[in-house]
Amino acid sequence: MSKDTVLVVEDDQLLREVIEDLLHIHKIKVKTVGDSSEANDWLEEYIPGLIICDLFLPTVSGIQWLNSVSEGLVANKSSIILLSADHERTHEMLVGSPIQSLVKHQLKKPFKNDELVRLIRFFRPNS
Amino acid sequence: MRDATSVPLDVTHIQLSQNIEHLLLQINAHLTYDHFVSSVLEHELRTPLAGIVSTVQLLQAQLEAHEAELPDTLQKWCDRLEKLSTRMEFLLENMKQLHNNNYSSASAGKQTRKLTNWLINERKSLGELIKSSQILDLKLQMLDESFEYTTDYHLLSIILGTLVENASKYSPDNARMDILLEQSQEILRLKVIDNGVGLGANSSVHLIKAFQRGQEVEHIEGSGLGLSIAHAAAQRIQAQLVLYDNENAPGTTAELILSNNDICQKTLF
Repeated sequence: MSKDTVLVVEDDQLLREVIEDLLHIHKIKVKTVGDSSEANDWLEEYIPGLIICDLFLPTVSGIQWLNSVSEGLVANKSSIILLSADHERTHEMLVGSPIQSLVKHQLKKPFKNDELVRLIRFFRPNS
Repeated sequence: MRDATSVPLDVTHIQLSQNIEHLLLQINAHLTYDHFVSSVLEHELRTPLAGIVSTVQLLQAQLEAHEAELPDTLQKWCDRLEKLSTRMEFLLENMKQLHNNNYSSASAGKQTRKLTNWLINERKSLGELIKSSQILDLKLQMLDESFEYTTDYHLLSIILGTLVENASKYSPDNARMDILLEQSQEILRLKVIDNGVGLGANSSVHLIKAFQRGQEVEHIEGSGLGLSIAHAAAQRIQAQLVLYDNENAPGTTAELILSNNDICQKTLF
């Protein structure tokens, strides 16, 4: 599991399962995790080409977590899609942060499945 | 020589300043916290909604892929879930807009536009809020078709959308609804008229109260929260929202009464 795997960080189990099902149907390799700690464990061994991250995680915000692991993500030129409700507020949080250049898109919940798949195909390397 | 009363007065003045400063800081902290809670709440509500919407899409895509014929009941349930999701998203957008509006100045969202042009344009998107078999007509009874009106058009859009959605919900399939804009010398009336179940004998004209429902509509899904949003939005633009049963015909009229600001000014000055 490496760059062609999409890492999905979403704390809502049901939505996580839906995204996993969707990506399996479209034959996109995916690893889903429910919080930053689980994500950190996975990142110790693997490098994702693309991360789909919820803005609110159980203990930290999605942006805080992404900033905390930004060194590896920047070095590997990983792309990030943020799942958020308030684009303006998210943009304010992103300005000047280490991961700003890696965030390729903000997707508002609820989203169209086709749009998510299209974005993944576009931003995921080797696809 | 200092007046005996001046010392405690100075002290009181300093204390008062400090207290006011402290109070302002507390108010600011409360507002910031309130804004944060609303943002989080909106995000948290959107998450299960995203799950529902994506699951329905997955189900439909799978059935199409396998060319399976969807049983009528299942198709109906899918359509219902889709409509409920659209409604939830519409409510969330409205709640967010109202919340943001509460934190901005009274004139922040105001624009001056030709009211009829706005309404004709708005009509195009309202079709998405009604049942596919229903008809929505627009009628204009204006003294001046090029009349320009100053208000917060985003809030006006929320109100109209909510009233149309509400009219559709309480009307049967194939029903007809009218949007009527009337201008008199001093008043503008924006009406949404349906021929649905009506308010019922025990409902007040001022039905609009959160979660309060007319007795005859209890079998229809929904909480009535939409009308509360419309009511709150109407208050924000200094308009009045009333609902009443149609005379000599079935159904309800939801009427938004706007002051005819330009004409009022001419009359007053």
